[in-house]
Amino acid sequence: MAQGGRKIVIGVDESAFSEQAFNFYVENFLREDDTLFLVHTPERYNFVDANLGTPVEHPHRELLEEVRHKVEALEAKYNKKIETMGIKSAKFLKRHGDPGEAIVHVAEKEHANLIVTGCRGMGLLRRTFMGSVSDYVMHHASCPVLVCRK
Amino acid sequence: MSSNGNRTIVIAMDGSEHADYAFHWYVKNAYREGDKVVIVFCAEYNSIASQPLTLMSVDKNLITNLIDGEEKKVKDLASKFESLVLKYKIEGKIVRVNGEPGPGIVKVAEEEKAAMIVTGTRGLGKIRRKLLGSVSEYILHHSPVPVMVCRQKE
Repeated sequence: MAQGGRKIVIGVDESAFSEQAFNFYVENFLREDDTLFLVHTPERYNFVDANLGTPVEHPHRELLEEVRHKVEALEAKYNKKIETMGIKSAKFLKRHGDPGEAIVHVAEKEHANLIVTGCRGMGLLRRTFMGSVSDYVMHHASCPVLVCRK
Repeated sequence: MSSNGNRTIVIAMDGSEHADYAFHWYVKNAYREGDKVVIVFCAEYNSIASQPLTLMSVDKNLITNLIDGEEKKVKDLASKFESLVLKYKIEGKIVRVNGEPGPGIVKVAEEEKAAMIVTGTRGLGKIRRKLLGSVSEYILHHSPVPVMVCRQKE
């Protein structure tokens, strides 16, 4: 029924929700000719505010290194999943800024057929029904969105 | 959801073109042999509820006509669904829910142990500027399972 490769954008972070969303897509939607775009937006540290305007060299480097390690670990984790699950075409994209905006931007640029997102991510606020990223994506995407909740 | 892949999919439909789009999107992008489709149709007697009381108390025919109109919608949906089901050889049924659509749809999904709920972005609601209708919004916030919101480019 598919007329040639679909493009699927999946927002990923270190949360279990993200992994659940990815797994659900693979178990229920994956097709051989799908191309996956995994969009990850690493945490940003506001160095200037943290140091009250006086930049300090070493803490910078340590924090940056930490972030870099986390991103590499996440990328490795998803690359392994991609390989194990036999996904033929996938790209891991690192983006700056707001996760929701990054996901929607990639989806628009690539003319994605589908965006997959978890219902929550790394956020601590549990009082809301839906996390801020999935909420943003739901209200700004111009393509179908799969919100995975369990 | 069993490992042999027999999923139950709940599709929220109200006869609107958004719902139609959602159904077709599901068939084109997610349907798998063995899927059982449960179409949830909510009979919204809103047109009756929004009539001024004076009119309602005077004209019994109006109420009858409105109810008949709603019943016809169900029949139309059933026949539309029937032709799609025959065309794609899908196993499915229509479940009619009275009262609030959102809670009704979620309840059916729970009872049928659905793998996911498929819905459009808006239904027959009059407010076109809204990005997400009230029913889809409700489903997103209360569904116990993944929700597939089929947004079409406008």
